Order: sequence, then structure tokens, then C-alpha cells
Amino acid sequence: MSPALGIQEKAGVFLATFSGLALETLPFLLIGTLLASVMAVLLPLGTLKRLFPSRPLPSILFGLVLGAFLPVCECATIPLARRLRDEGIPESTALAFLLAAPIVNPLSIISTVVAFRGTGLPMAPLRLAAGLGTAFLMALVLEISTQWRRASPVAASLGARGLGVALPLGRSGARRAAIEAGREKRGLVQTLGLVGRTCADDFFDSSRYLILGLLVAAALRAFVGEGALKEGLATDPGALFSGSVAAYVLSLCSTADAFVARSLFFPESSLGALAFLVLGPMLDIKNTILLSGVVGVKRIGPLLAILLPLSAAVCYVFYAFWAAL
Amino acid sequence: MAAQGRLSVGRLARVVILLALGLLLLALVILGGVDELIHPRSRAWVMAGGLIALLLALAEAGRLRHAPGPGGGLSAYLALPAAMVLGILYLQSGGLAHGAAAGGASAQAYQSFVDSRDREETRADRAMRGDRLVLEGDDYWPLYGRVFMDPQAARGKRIIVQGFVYHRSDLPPGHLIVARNLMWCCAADVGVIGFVLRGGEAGTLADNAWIEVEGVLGTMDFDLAGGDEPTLIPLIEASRIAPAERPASATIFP
Repeated sequence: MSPALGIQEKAGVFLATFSGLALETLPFLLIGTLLASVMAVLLPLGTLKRLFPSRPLPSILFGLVLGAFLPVCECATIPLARRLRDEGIPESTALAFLLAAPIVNPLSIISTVVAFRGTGLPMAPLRLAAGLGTAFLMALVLEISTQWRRASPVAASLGARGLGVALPLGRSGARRAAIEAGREKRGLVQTLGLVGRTCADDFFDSSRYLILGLLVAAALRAFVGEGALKEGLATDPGALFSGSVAAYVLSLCSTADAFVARSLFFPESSLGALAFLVLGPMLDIKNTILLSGVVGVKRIGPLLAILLPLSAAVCYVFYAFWAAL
Repeated sequence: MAAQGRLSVGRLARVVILLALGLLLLALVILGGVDELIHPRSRAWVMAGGLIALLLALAEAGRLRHAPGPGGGLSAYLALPAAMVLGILYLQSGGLAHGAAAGGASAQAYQSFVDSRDREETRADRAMRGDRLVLEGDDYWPLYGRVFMDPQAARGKRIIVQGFVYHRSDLPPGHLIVARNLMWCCAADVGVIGFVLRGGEAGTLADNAWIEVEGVLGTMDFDLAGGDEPTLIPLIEASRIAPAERPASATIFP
């Protein structure tokens, strides 16, 4: 098979992968934080909240489709979801947006259509359906958990100790207060300056976690290798697991992962490709570390523990439904 | 926000980091050098990121006497320069792309990828009707796809192709792959594509050496993707193998 790599070549793979991922993701993180800062500075507190439906279910559905209007990948959606939460949008809606946006955005849809054209497999609609289904169910779990926590003293106590299923995306109350202070008196120059300063704060909050995530992802690719991942995981306990783990570890951009999914899994396992394309944009190594800097390390565990099996199950259901047609 | 006071070293570090990041992103796009790391279609995004970073540096420079708030931890100051230094090290080393390619075992599966984006007649279709195929520049990927799609139809055609030497232990003795790196998005998904060839001194050439090959296309049964059943793939019966310069654009971008 492929020649075994020496330590120098592995270091080369590591550097190439890390540098490529950094060049691919840092601009999107900058763009995402800039959009989020513009929203924060230009829109008075409560404006966005009024645009969203007040009832939980319609609000979650609104969050699901919002990403369709943003041609950005997952690195840009984390600061935006965090900003939604800061604006008083329910956590469940912010989570629905966070998970669905990288899949429903136009770039991801187009690349999936192109990559799987001519295969006879309707991967783009399958990916959309399974992605939206997973994001919806995750948001629903969070909404129910939030309401239960409000109603139950035991659950509230668990939540206070960071053990509940919660997504406190905002930790910037003081920063928000500074933005609101003197809003009426601000001129254009002051407004632009405030956008820049808010964006810089958000960027420095997030970038260190993103870079740590990229380091881990690059190291895994260099020292484990995607071939080993494929060969080691493709047999037991199945393609769903194989696809999910490969997506989580490889940390590829959602705007181009369809091509890699096709080469990795198709035609041997369409189900593995679907699992790869649904979980990867929602959560991978780099985003887990990026998100853990936002929500706290304790809350990442429950999120992953629910998301991994849930996305696999939803993929299986939609794939089985399509196969039965 | 902290009250105004002495110059904040933390804030100054942020300005330097943002300036360096912005200038690096812009320089990589303007001066070239990103093609080994990201797909050319991402240049606009990198450019936008560089401009935003410079604007943020400007905004940060306006509050040098304010201490950084929460989130201005030391790790941020270490992580970003680390990213830049590693990126620059890679660019300076130049030849590491081959290592990256060899690391992507999935890449052999690209041979099964058929370029189905256009059904209209293209330059590649017209070339396929001739008896001589020259795989270079933008013609490489469409011709590669068409030859692999129907190896029988390409039998007997003369082919000229450049690539780097890539030996695989499961190839018969005296065979090698004249390979290119293929990138969908960024260096994290780079893989190897190429043609198996035999003849000349194929068995003795050093890995990663750039060569130009001229020969006649035949076919062979081989499991190029790895782990699957052997399938019919193109084979170059080489009549000439010459050393070649590494082309300016060595990576193939579908």
C-alpha cells in the first residue's frame, strides 16, 4: 500500500495540514466575529429577539432555516450563535442555528450536489434532511431540559454545577453593557471603533481554542492517518460509527467535505458517507475545542454524548426511508 | 473596561498579533504561496480575513492604555504566532507537499471519481477523440477523469504527463505511479492521484523525484483504491522517462 512515513514526513503532513486548516478557518472566524459584532453594535438590545417567534417550537424552526442565508462554514457560526444567545434568543434556537447552519448554507448544498452527481444517490437532500432532523431534535432536547430545569429544584441544582444539558453561549454581560451605554450619542467613527473593539475581543476569546483544535486535528491526521481511520473503523460496529468518527477526527470544512466523503466512503458505504456529512459540520475536534471555550468544558460532554448517537440514528432512519422507496 | 493608565503590554501584543496575522494573510494571497495550502477559490476569503485583521489591529491600537479584558489570556498570544510560524516554516521548506500527499491514504480512491460536472463537449472531449493526450495545466483533471472513466477507450493513445514518483509496495516490480497532489479545499484533504506506469527505469527512480513520461496507454487490473476488488485501470507503457522541473502549480484543483 502507501509507503510508510518517516518522522520527517509526518512532521511535514502535520505542518501542511495545520497551516492549511488555519488558513481555511481563521478568515471565516474573523468574518463570523465581525458579523456578530456588527449585529451587537448596530442593533439595540432586544431588536433581534423581536424578529424571532416567541414560542419555542417556531423559534427553533426559524433558527434552523436562518443558516440558509449565510454562505459561511461552521467556524463562522459559533460567534454568531453566541451573539444570538447574548441578544436574548433562547438557547435552544441558538443551538438549532449552530448545528444546522453549516449544512443548510448554500455552499455546502452546492458542493454536495456536485460531488455526488451521477452516483444515483440523492446525497444533498439526504444530508439536508438528516442534518435538519438532528439539529431539530438536539434543540428540542435542550428546550425540554431547560424547561425541566426551571421547574425542578434538583435539575436546577445540577445545572448550577454545570452538569445539566445547557448551552450558555454568552458570557459577556459586561461587554454587552458597555455596548449599550451611550448608544444614542455615538457617531459613525465611534460606532465603527466599537465594532472593531468588540470584534477583536470576540476573536481573541475564540481563536486560541480554534488553534488548539487545529493542532489536535492536524496531529491526528499526521500520526494516525485517515487511511488508518478508514481501515480501522469501517468494519465493526458499522459504517455509521466509521463515518461519524472519521468526520469528528478529520475536522474538514463543511463547504468541501462532500468530495472527501465521496472518495472515502462511496460506493462501499453510502450510509458512512451520510454520517460523515451530517456530524462533521455540526461538531468535530476543532469545533469541540472552540465551543468548549464558549460553553465550558463540563457542558461539552453531555452535548457530545447526545449528539453522536442521535445524528447516527437520524442518518440511519433517513437512509433506510430512502432505500425503502 | 479598565480605566486609562499606562501603556498595556497585553494590548500592544494584541495589536502586533493582529497586524502580523493580517499582513501574513494578505501577503500569502498577493505574493502567492497559498496554492500548496488552500484551494485558489478560497483566496478571496483569506484576503477578507487579512483585511479584517488589519482593521481590528487599528481598533486595538486606539485603546493601548486599556488593559485587555477577559479573553486576553496569554494562550491567545502564544497560539496565533505559533500558527504563523508553523505556516511560514512549511512554506519555506517547500518540499513537504509530498509528505502530505502520502499521508492521505484515501487519495487513491480519487481514481474512481468521474468528473460529471459537464455533459457538454469540452476541450477534454475533443482531445479524447485524438490519438495524443497531453495532461498539463487545467487539462489534467478533466482528461484524467475521462481516461479513468473508460480505460478501454483510451487504449493505444499516446500520453505525455508530468508528476512525481510514487512507489507502492503492492504494485508489481518495475511499476510506479506518476503522481500529482489533488486538493478539494485545503491541505487537510490533499491526496495523491496518478497513472501507473511501467517500462524504462521505472523500478529504480527515487520517490518524489519529478519526471516527464511519454508512452502508450494500456490497461491493467489493479486495486488502486486499496482494500477493494481489482478493477480495470489505465497503465502507461513508458517509452521515455525524463527528469523534469517541479511545475509552478504542482497541485491539481478540481
